[in-house]
Amino acid sequence: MTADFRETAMAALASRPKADPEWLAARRAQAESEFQDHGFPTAKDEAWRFTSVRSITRLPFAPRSGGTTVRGDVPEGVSVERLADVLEKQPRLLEPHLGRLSKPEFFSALNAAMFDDALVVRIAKGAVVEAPIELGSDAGADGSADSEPTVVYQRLFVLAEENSQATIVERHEGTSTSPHLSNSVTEILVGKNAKLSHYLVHQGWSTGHRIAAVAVEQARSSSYASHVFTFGGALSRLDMRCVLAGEGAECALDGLYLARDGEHVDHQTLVDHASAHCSSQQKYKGILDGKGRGVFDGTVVVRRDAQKSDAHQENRNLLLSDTAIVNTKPHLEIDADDVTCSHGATVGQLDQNQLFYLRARGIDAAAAKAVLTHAFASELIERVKLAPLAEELGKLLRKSLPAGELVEDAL
Amino acid sequence: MTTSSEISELINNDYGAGFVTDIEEDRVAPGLNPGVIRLISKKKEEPSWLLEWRLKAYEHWLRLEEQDPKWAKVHYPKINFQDICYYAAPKSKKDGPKSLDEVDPELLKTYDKLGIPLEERAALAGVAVDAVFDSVSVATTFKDKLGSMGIIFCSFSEAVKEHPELVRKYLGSVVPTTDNFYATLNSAVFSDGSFVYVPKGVRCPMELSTYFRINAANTGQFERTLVIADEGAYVSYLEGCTAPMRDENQLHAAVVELVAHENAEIKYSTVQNWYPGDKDGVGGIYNFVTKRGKCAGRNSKISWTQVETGSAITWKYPSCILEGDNSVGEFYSVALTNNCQQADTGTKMIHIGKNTKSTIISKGISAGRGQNTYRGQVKIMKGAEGARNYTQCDSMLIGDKCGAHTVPYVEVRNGSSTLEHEATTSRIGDDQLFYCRQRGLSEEDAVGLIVNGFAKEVLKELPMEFAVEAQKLLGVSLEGAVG
Repeated sequence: MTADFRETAMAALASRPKADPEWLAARRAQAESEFQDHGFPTAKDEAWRFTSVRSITRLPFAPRSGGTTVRGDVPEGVSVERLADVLEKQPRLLEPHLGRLSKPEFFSALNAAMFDDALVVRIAKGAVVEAPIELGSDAGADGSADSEPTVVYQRLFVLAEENSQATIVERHEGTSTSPHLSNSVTEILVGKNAKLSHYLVHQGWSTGHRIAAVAVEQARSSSYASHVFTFGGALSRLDMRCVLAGEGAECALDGLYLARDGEHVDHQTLVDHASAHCSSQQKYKGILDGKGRGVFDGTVVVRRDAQKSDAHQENRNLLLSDTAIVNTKPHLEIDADDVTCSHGATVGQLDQNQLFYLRARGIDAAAAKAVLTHAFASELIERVKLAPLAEELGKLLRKSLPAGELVEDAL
Repeated sequence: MTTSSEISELINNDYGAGFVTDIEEDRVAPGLNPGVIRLISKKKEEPSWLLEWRLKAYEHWLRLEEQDPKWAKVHYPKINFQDICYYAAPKSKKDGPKSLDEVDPELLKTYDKLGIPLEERAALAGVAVDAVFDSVSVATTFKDKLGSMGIIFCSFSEAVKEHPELVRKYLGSVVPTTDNFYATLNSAVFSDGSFVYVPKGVRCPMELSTYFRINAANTGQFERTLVIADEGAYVSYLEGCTAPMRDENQLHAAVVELVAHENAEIKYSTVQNWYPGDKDGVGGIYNFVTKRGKCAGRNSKISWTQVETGSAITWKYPSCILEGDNSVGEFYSVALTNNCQQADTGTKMIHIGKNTKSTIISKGISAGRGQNTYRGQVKIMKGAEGARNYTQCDSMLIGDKCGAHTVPYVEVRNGSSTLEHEATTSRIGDDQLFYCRQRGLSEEDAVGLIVNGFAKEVLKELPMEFAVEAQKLLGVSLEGAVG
């Protein structure tokens, strides 16, 4: 019998060169023992109830390089450095944060122990950066289905300092046809009064696996807006965790996910209202076709004394086929009384009346269906504030939707 | 607005139904072993197949390790199942009472205090009462009238003796003995309960009602209820509970099974007001109940309505298995937690048949340090074409130390189904309170009014007899719990 991922991961852990500062080495050791104790999640772990990672754990993924890199110019007021360089210059700068925001658990524990080439993005105090900071990774177009399976550990740390304003655009492409896995952890610290917009685009993962975690901590009166676009994936999982630590912080989490035949996309959000007067908005929409499977698990926690919290969450799923599967679990945990919290979740099909309306006007069934599906999804694209990105996402959406070319024609 | 000291004073109102009736009891020594199960079975003169059934459940129970569901948001000390007495029957004449005159007067007094419509009050109220006093049914009214229509409404033990074929056919058909820890325990040691069978095409002319009352200290009550509506039948069943004040936690692990055949309808209503423990959470009933209904035939309907104001811990998910095409499941719930009460309740709607519909309306009210969780599951199976679900869960918070949690699971395996889920959580409206106070209503009345309005959607589903009691209960349980 050939080796599985656990074996290759353990071997990789053992042979990893160790040249970290003491505090980082200690954190890695802790994550490593966490991984040794718990390994990979099973259906018995509540957060992984509907997502089996069997397709990942049975393959002997070997680590390769290929972390997130900068694309294009870095705008003024922003520094993007490799972790190794930051550690050399200021060995203790990241000690209070790196590895603290993201809880080491299963894949993120493995990432914490293994990551090699982290990227550190710093937005200077008071800097108002207009141009987006463009980051990305590419699994490469090489390889074939029977090449050696490879895994890449990506790590990103973002520090948006006080009163800064910036936009980050991340594009992760998984177009390689060889079996590959991307295990990514992003930690974001949004300082006082800072504003950060964060776009995360996943495309081309129809044969690739991606397990990503984003952990955000927000200081007083800060604002964080996340826009996630997942255009399919053999197995795509995103854990989005946002802690509203300072009073008056606000966050808006948007997401659009698509799963076509044989794909499995899983989005989990956690908004933790740890302080008073914070507000959060979530809007996640999913389109499932063929035998596609979609999972959404959204949790809103309002801690005791986090009074005057305002939290809203919405999850809508559109089923285009009889064989698609959706599991959604919107979840509220409220321990304060002076709050306004709501969530809504729907699962349904295209409106028959709307289809009829279009058909009655001479639009054929396939085009009518495509136009309405496109309209359902484009709400989230319209919320994208960067015009060129919105246009690019629109094209990607039409490329990914069944009969999307019909919409292209109609437009 | 009131100060916090006033609030706690007002929250702390005594449990009205707390009293103990002294009656001689016939009880088995505490502990659980095959001998006890044989004894229970023998005392109840059960046929051998039922004893086998119990023993099989017991053997399975021994193999189960976890006694509490880990996912439920409830906390309590571990229960020692060997400390519990598994059978207690009021001592009365061996051959049982023939009429009300023969019933122990102490018992009648107890019912009197609780305001149960027995004797002529039963006739006036139009309710047939099969009162379960601890474990053995002592009086059944209206039996003749129901009997003439072919309706069987009797205690479970009686049904085992007189209609063994029906009991054997349906017992465990909805909640198998291996279902969960407490259902398995119940299957092994169940004492008594109610049995209802409504024959084909019969519409039960009155609300059937059973009042349970846990009386003997340290006696776990393990009721077993079975309601069957044959083709085209209709029955409305009422279950209400009060328990006397007690310091030690008492376990209550009932199993209720409903079966609705083609075109049949069952309406099951519960008002639960067991002792919730004192203001520090000492004492109180542990209510771990498994309730499930099966819509076996086409166009059948099962409707659960519950008002849960009592118990230290409520762990209960009345569910519907919508097997027949076009069948309908409904769940209406009001759950109130005050002081240290914990409630983890909700429903499961399993859509199997085509065009099945379900509606879930849940209203949670948390006050004091109460923790209230709605946990529900809507599952659409592959063959459930055109299934439809609507879920609404609202929570109201009164005071800053309570919690309200909503955990719905929506699992869809069929693309032609439509599901909606909505939930809101907010605190009792200051504006509404102010408006009421301004018009001369006392704070307590204002809270009662607002809470009743909040829960109205559910309360209106209750049969007349219960609606009044439920409204009163909500008001009483929440008096002054506002800040």
